[in-house]
Amino acid sequence: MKRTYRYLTLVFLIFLVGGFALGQIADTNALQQATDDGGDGMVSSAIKGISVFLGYTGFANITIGHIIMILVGLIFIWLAIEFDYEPLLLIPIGTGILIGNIPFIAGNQIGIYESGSVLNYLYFGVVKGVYPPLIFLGIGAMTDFSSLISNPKLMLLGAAAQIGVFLTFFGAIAIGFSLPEAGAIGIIGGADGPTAIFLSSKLANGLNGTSNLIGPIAIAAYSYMALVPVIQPPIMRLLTNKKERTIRMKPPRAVSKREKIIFPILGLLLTTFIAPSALPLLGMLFFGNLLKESGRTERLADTARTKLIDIITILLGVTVGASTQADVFLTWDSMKIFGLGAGSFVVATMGGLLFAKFMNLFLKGDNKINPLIGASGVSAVPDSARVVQQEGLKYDPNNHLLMHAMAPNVSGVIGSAVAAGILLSFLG
Amino acid sequence: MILLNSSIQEGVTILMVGLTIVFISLLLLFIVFQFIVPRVLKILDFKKPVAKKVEKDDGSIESGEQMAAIAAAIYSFLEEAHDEENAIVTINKSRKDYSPWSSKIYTTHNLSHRRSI
Repeated sequence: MKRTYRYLTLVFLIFLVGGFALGQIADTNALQQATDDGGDGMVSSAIKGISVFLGYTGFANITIGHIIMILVGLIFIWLAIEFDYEPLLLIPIGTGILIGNIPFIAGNQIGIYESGSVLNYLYFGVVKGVYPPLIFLGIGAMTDFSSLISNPKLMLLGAAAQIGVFLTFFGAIAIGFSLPEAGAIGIIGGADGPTAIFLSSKLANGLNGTSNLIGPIAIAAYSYMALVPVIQPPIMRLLTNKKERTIRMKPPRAVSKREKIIFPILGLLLTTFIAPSALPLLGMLFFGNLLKESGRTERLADTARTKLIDIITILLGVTVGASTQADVFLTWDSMKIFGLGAGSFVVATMGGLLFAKFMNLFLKGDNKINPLIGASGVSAVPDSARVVQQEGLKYDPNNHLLMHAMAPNVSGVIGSAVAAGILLSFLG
Repeated sequence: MILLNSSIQEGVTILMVGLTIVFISLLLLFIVFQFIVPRVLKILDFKKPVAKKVEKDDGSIESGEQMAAIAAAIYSFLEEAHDEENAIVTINKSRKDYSPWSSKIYTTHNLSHRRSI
């Protein structure tokens, strides 16, 4: 495998350097010579044609920014294939970054930001916030809220983790972003890609005096979501002691079908009455869940959780990746967003963990919560719940926390959508 | 500077109000599903005639014991089931090759070679 990567890198470098040299030569000397000769028959026009063609190639238009972004795309693909970090997201996004950073001459309706290009049409779903609610529909159709219904107090952990959103929002204002931009950046702390895209498409879309930050925000959100197994465990270990990590929680009770049906209906009504701006996300989330739990619409639920979400994930991943054109993406603002994003994940994880410890002050006996599950309040479904399970097993091989962690995990999804709705209603 | 200060002030307001609203929404869900829904369902169950309750079995699993029994049954079934054989090829012959010399047909049907005169 290593040898394959080595060969691929070598071939890529030869291709890049050789092509670049050829492109530059064609762009300057040959064209100059051909025009100086002044129409010396077929040979001259052939040279001219070739040099014009070479002038249109990516090699003639490449910049250092393109090379950096192509390397970022390749790293995303490598992380997904080699380490299995969110491959369903990182492979489309990584490939999208490659697509978006092939240098070309503007004006031929090729690029994602060129009106009328195919990529621009596909990007419409991102800019107008069409894809995120459809993703939420699929998430709703594949989510089982049983663990949350059986132990509703764990919902509060999902709320506590949203402190990451609001503190990052505050941090973004402090380093000079405008209020709407800061709102869009803050939602990275919700650790929810579709929500981040939805809010940034409304608040930081390049209109009304804001910068277009959709690409950097989406890339930051998805990158940190993929890195949850790296980011969260050290914070978990830092904020909990061994005794707390080995707390065994009461097994969740069996939830009746009626409760499962009531949950999406009441959840929809309660949350959207409080934050109507989150309606596209929460409405679709609970609708998808009702399709699943009603027991009468299995076909629709099946489509929503398989084919539909797959199609949207492909389109969303590729277009978000392609939106990271070097000239738009490689800015100081993007670097700041990446820094704030990392901070927001850390704060959100800390918020969940500390709130679980706080709740334990009031809980007794087997009602106590293993504080590790607080970390899964950051959504990033189901990765953060999986991380909690793995961390828990390290200290007690028989203590399975996955089902318990799924409760704050899914409530984190609801919480981050509500937070997005609130930010939208304040700043939209 | 003044602009930044006013943004920070507004940011603090949004931070406080936003966080409170997120907590209130999920707290409301918690209260409803912790206290209200179970009671309402209990009352509805209480009002239902017993016979009707038996008829209207929706097929859902009501207790942890049932779930454990089903899980154990599935586990033991999957342990028992053999999807794959060991796929070891042997050269032992499972049956004898056919030969007309050993065929029963020549010994059972040819009763007599003598012709009657």
